[in-house]
Amino acid sequence: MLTPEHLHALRNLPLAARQAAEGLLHGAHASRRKGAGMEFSQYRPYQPGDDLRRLDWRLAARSDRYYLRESEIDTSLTVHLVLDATASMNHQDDNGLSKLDYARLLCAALAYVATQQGDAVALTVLHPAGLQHLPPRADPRQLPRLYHMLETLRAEGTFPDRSTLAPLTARRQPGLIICLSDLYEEQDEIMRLLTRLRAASGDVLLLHLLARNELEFSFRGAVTFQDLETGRTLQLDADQQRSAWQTHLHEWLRSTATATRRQGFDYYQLSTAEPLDRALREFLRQRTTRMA
Amino acid sequence: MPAFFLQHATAGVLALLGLAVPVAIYLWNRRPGRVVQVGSLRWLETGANRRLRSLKPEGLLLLLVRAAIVGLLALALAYPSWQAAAPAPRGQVLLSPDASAEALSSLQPTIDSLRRRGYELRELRPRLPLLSAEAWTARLRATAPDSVLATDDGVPNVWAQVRQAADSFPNRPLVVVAPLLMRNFRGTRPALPANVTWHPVPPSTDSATWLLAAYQPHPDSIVLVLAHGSETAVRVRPLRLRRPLAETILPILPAPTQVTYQPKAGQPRIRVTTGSTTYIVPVQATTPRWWVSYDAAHAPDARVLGAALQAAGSVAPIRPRLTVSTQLPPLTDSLTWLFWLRDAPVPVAWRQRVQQGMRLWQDAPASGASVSTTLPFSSIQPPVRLLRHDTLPLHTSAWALWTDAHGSPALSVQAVGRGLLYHLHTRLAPTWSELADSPELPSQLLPLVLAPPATSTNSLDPRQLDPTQLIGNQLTPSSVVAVSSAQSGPVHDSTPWVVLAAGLLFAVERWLATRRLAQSSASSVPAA
Repeated sequence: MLTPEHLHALRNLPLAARQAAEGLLHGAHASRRKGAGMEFSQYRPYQPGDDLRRLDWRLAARSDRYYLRESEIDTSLTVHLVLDATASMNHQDDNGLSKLDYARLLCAALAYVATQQGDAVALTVLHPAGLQHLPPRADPRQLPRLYHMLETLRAEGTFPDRSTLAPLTARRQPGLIICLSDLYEEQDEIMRLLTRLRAASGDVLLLHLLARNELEFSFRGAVTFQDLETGRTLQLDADQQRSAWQTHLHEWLRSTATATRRQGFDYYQLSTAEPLDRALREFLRQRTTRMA
Repeated sequence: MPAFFLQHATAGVLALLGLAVPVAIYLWNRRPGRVVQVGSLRWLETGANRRLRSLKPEGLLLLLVRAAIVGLLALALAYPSWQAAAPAPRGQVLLSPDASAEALSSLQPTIDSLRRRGYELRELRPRLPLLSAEAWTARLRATAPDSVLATDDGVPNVWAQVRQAADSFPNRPLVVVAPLLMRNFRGTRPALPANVTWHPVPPSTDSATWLLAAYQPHPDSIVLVLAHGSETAVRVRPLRLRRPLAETILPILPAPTQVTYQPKAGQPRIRVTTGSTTYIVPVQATTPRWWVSYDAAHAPDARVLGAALQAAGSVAPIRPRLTVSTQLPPLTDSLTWLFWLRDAPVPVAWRQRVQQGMRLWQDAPASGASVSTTLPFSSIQPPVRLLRHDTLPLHTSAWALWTDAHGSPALSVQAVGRGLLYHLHTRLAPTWSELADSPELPSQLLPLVLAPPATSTNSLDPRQLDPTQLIGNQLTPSSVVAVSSAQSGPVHDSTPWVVLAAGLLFAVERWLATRRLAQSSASSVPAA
């Protein structure tokens, strides 16, 4: 499995997405629901109440027994990627990878996996200038469009206001919503959005991106910290700040995890130094449980 | 006044460059640091404000302490020293043994006040012995000092002694208490520093009569030369007597002085006793021998000198036998005077005779400088013009007898052994001077040629020095200053104290730094 920085170094989002997903998909099979469909799956003895249209009359004529012909049903799962592209996503880890870079790779890999699984993938970028929305489609050209949109993405500004977000929650489109964000919000605008999305669409998988230097506070000596969203700076001795920072951070992570789970989201913390497979596995697991 | 100075100022200035180190550390600590962009500052702010507020003054204090340490070390490298004030010089009061008790009593308040101010009392004698308080009171109670008749060598020369004292006690005030007896001030006045103060005291006696010399021109008569001295002059009168019998007391001097004719071993002599002191005056019976030896160049001089000596000798109690010749005198001749009018140097044999009491007269060598000055012999006669003058410097032990109008000596005398060496700094020839035409010349020569050999009776001379003579040429202030700066106090090196101060400051710096660390770590712990 390639590390995120190696994938980023490829400078080729389609290739990176495939590389990240291939190893994961190898040998893995999507569980499929049995039912009415084009592709034959198995025979099942008739039970009263079954739809007579699905009775295999030819078999009944030959063997005088009633069997139902079962085939795979067509899935119509829509995977809706929601990417937070506010300025705070520009936070850069020690490996030179910003949260946005990581999120970009992750979105591409998820989209690839989803496409491979036959799902329709949609992408919404939360940007202060407005929502960039790619509607869900299952056609083969959806991936290149999505890749292009990810590649041209820039993180800037603060979280969009409610009116900008309104179209996102207006349409009811069932599916799996995967939200990638650092959850740095001024009040609780992200959580409110996710709550409404859950109400509108269904499951929400919240991937919380955290840089490793953020988690461990690995800064040393005198450092000028600059807030990416407000631009405010603070000159500090990092060594003296470390313990306080970590205490606050872990408290926040704990409370965030509690809050999101109370809302019914699936919440995962991802370090931008970790490989992508953990997030991808989680996605597949989610998908499987949703399909089951 | 103590003076602070640096022995190696350059090293100190170079070491001051070390001040850049603490300043650099301070600026390094205060540098903005690299900029890290983070998503949120929310967990930094609470501690940060407090931190930034406390960082500035403490850092500045540390900077100042560190700069002070470096500055002190730089100062230590420059070897700071201070020069202590020289101990206040103790003045010296020099008491002449000739000063009488009465005279000292009148000066007692002054001298006692000087002693209370730390002055030391010393006797004006060779080696300047210290006078204790007991000796001082004894001096005050003592009656008139005995008229000590020391030999000529023993008679102190105040000039030389004060000069010696000024050299022995540089930069100290000297107060000289001495009677201004002319006999004690011999030679030229030396250059004395300005801190010599004179307190002239009246001599014990203001007049005296003494027997100066005795002659026996004929076997049946003697001539006694009596001198009567006052403060200003000595009058000499001859007294012709029949030759007395041995041990006859001659009533020529007032009581209690006793004059006795006392021949001894065929040599007639006269014994003079005053109280406990006695002096002997030999009676000269032999004819004095004078010899003028000249060469061709000195022929005019020899003629003049011969005539002048002839005239002077004619009034002598015993008429001298004068020889004026181009020949050298025979070494066997017992000459009293040798007038050497030759360009050639005086032979060694005759020089040695000077040591034994002979008097030698020399004039200027052939090379001389043209001058235009006069020699004032007396106020009656017009002064004698001098045309040429030799360029020889005056011998250090010589003193001038005749001084021209420019102040340079025309005739000087120098004591050599028991004899005297006279030096005429011009010549008697008309091309050199108009001395030959002066009617004063024989009378001026008379006291020289008739002066009896130095005897102890010189110590009875009561003539006094003009007090204005005491203020002579003094040492210039610059030379005094040069001496005083060399005599400044000891130099103390303050380097150890500066290093100690730097060490203390270092301890303070360590304490400040640790306190700062402790404070910052305490502040970084959340209040929770």
